[in-house]
Amino acid sequence: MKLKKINLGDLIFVLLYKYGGEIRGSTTIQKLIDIVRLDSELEVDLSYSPYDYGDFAPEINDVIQVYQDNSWLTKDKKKIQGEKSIDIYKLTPVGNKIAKTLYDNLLTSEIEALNIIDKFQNKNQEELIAFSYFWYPKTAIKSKIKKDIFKKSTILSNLEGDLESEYDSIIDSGRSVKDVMRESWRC
Amino acid sequence: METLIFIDSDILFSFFALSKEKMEIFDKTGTTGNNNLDTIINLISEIENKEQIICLSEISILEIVCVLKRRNSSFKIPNIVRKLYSIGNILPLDDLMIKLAWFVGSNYKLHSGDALHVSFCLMNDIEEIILQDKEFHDACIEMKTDFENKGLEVLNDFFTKISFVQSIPEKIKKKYSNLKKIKIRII
Repeated sequence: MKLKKINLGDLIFVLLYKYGGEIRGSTTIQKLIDIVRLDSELEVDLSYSPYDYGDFAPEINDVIQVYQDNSWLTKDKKKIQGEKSIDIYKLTPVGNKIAKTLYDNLLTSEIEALNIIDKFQNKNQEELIAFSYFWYPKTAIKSKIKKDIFKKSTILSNLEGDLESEYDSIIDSGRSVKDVMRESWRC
Repeated sequence: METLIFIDSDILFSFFALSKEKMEIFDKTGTTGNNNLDTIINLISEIENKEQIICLSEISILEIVCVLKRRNSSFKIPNIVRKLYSIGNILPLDDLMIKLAWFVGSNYKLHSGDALHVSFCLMNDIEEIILQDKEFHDACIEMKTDFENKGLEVLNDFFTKISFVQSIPEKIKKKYSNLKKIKIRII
C-alpha cells in the first residue's frame, strides 16, 4: 500500500540532495523517479510511458527546466567516452538550501521509503537501466537500447555445454526433456 | 525480414547441451551421434542464418529454472538465465495474456505451462511456434482449425458464460485472430 503522495518537484530536490547535490544523466533521474514510483511506498503522481530508453515522463524534464530557469539547478554536458557525453545536474547553493529544508521536513517513513535508491548511488546509468529493464520489463517494451543492456549475442557464441550432463541424464533415464518440464509444474 | 519466433522450453534446454566440441564433431562428420541434438544444431543454424528473433516469456525461464532445481543444478541458473536474456527477447507478461490462457487451457488439451505459452505467442504477434512435443503441436493445430471454422465464437462463448463478463476486450479478439497466420512447426 502506498504511504503518501510525494510532489514531483519536491522529489527531484530530495533525490539530488540525497545524491550529494549531483546526478549524472537525465535518464538516471528518470529511472530513479520511476523506481521510487514502482518500488517504494510513496506514490508519485506521474504518467510514465515506455520510450526509447524505457519509461519516460516529460513532466520531469519540465520541472528540471523550471529549476534551471530559477538558478536552483545547473546542467552541464560532460564527455564520457568518444563521442558520448552525459548531462550533469547539480544543485546550486540556493537549490541546495531548498532541498535541505525539504529533506529535513520529510517524515521518517518517507525518508525510509526513499532509502531504496541509496543502492544506486555508486552505479552508472547503464546499471540503473539494466535494473529497471530486468525488474520492470513493461517499461522496456519500446527500448532501442535493450540489445546493449542485455548484451545480445548469437546463440552459437553461448553454447558451452552448460547443461550437457543434465541433458544426458534425462535422455539416459528414457524420458524426454519435455516430460521433465511437465513434471516441474507439479507440486 | 526479421521474424519473431517462439521456441518451446525443452528445445531451449537442449541448446545448452551443445558445446563447441559437439559443434566441431557435427561440422566434421555431419552428426553429433545424437539425432535430437543434430536437429537442434540445424535449427540454430537456420535461426541465425535467417536472423530470426527468439521471443520468450518469463514463464519459459521459470520452466527451465524449475527443471534445473529438480536436477540439483541450481548453481547453473544465473548463468543460464543471463544467456537466455542474451540470445532471446524476454517479453513481459500481460494481464490479458493470463485470461486468454484460461480460455486456451479450458478448451484444448494442454498443461498450464503450454496454455500460457500459446497465449503469450498470440498476444505478442509471434509468427512461428517451434516445438517438439506432439500433444502441444496437435492442440495448436486444433486451435487453428477451430478458428478457421468458427472464428471468435468459441472465445466469445467462453467469456460470456462467466457470469460477470458480458463482453471481451477488442485486444483479445484481435490477438486471438493471430491464429489465422501463426505457423506451428514440429521438429
